[in-house]
Amino acid sequence: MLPENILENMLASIRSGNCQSREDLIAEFSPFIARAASKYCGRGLEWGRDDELSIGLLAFNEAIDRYDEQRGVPFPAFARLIIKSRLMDYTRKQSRHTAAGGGSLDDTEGRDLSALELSRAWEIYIDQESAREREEEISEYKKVIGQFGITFDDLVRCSPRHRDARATLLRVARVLAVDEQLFAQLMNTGKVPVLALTRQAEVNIKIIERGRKYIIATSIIWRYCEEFLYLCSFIRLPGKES
Amino acid sequence: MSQKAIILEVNKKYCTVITSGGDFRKLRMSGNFRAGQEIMLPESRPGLYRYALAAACLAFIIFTAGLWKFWTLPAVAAYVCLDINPSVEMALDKNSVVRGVNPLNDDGKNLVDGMDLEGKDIREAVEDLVLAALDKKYILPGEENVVMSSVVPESKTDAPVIEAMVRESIDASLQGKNIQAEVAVLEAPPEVREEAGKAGMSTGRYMLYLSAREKGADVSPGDFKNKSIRLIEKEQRIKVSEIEKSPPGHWKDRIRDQYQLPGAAENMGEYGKSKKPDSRPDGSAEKPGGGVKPVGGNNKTSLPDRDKGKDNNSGGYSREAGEDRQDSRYGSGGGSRKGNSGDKQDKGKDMSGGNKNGQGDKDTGGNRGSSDKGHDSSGSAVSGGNGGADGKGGSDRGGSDKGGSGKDKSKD
Repeated sequence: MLPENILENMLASIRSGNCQSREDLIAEFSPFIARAASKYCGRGLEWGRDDELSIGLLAFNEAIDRYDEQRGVPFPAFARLIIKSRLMDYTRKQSRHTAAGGGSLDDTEGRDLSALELSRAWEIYIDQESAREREEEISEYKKVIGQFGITFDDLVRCSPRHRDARATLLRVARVLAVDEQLFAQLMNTGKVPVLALTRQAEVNIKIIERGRKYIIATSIIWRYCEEFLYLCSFIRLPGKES
Repeated sequence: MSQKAIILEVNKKYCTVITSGGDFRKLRMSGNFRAGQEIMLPESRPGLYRYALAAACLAFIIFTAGLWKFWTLPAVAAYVCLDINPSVEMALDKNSVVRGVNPLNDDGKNLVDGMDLEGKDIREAVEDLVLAALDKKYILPGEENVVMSSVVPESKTDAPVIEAMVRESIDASLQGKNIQAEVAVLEAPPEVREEAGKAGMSTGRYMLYLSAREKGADVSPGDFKNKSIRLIEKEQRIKVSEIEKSPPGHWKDRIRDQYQLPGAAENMGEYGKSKKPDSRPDGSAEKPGGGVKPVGGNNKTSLPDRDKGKDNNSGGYSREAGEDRQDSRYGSGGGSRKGNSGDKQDKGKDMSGGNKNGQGDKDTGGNRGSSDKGHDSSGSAVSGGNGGADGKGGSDRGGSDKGGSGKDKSKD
């Protein structure tokens, strides 16, 4: 997943008419699109075989155009919402061929809805859906960190008050999240590979030991960025780190 | 940067959030919140909180600093009072640094005018004051000068040390100018300073006043307020170097005398006055036999019986009246004996008026015989006691009745 600031830059350049950026972004996100579509359909999808992937791509392209930062939904989450929504329309259309089904809100074919009404309904849909997703995400996150014996209260307690101290721990967590081996070690043993991490992140062992829970919690967010889309895109790495 | 947060958990009073800076926090929030909701952190809050804290700290520091000054001001370890003519009092802290200067008379104001003594060591301050007194002609070369200083330890301070420092600096500054002076440094208990304050004068002057009183001089505190110490010495024929030797406790006693002696003396005076005027006119008017009084007086003191009777003065007065009646009732013959018995009561009870009757009677009674007296003494003693206890109305009869019984016995 792209870091937030790069994504923002790309979106800005696309909006200013850079076609190459659009291509790059779509290419960058194609695995994401595939995963989102597969998750919705509940089965593995294959490029060139399944229509759902093409619909996903189209939806993603639409998302790029319709994305509005003001809404407060991170772009990947927004894109995923649109992909889901379009796939929903697609499946409904499919089922309408076999049996009569309800039309989608966005279905302009059968219904005579004004564009304004549509866009308002759509906004409401996005808001409701994203809120639901956020709530789900948090409860999922709570479950995951719960497996490490971490509660939100723990995190409040051990989260460093000072910005610099927090930045250090976030950096360590980032190292842990990015490093396959170390992260696998964390997931398997449930323990932070302190010594290896000390070497990798070049910080004092005590800092890691003290911020153990915080490091686990934040590295999980980064590692499973797609599962915790909202959290992941929300937390910014302090300083200029790519 | 970290003004946005996502709500992780919603409790009754708190929301646990994660900020975009990666900080997990608990916020006191109430309202309709859902987990996952993105909120704007009240940005002003941490800032405001910090500023408020800083402001509170500052206020606290200023406040305590103010209080500190306030606290330290009354925390006077000792008062040093310098009397030449100018009287100046200085408050010292426990490091013997002058913390306050208080000129106690006009000369004192004149003396300290333009001087900055606060913050100086007591030695320095005293030297400065003595030299200033020289400058301003309060101390004159070639004359008899008196420099008096009183040290009043307020809290647990080493008064002798301060005394020594004061004396040393007075001597040093005088010697430096080749000036002869009588120097006295006295230690006074705080009570003396208190009293001096009430009288509106310096501690040293008040001690002089007390000494003058002690010597029996009829003086008032006002006489000591503004004169130079030298003049006071002359007038009252007191030497400060002499009173210097009195221990601090001595002054406490003197103050106690101030309050108790005059009062006591007045009371005594009252007794004396009331006794004399009462007895003289009565005695001379009623009974001509004044010459026997001393005898009666002797009897009074020597006979233990009468001591019992002495208790009540008021009874005496009433009984006196009663005796008069007795006399009239029983006639003159019995009167003598009655008088005799009553007489004893009188003497016992009455220090003042009763004597004359009794003594007058007693002349006759006493002449009667010793047996009489013996009876009487027992009888009268009892009667006296009763009479005293009964009070005015009853005492007449009680006294007379018993007098009667005593009389009977003696007759038999």
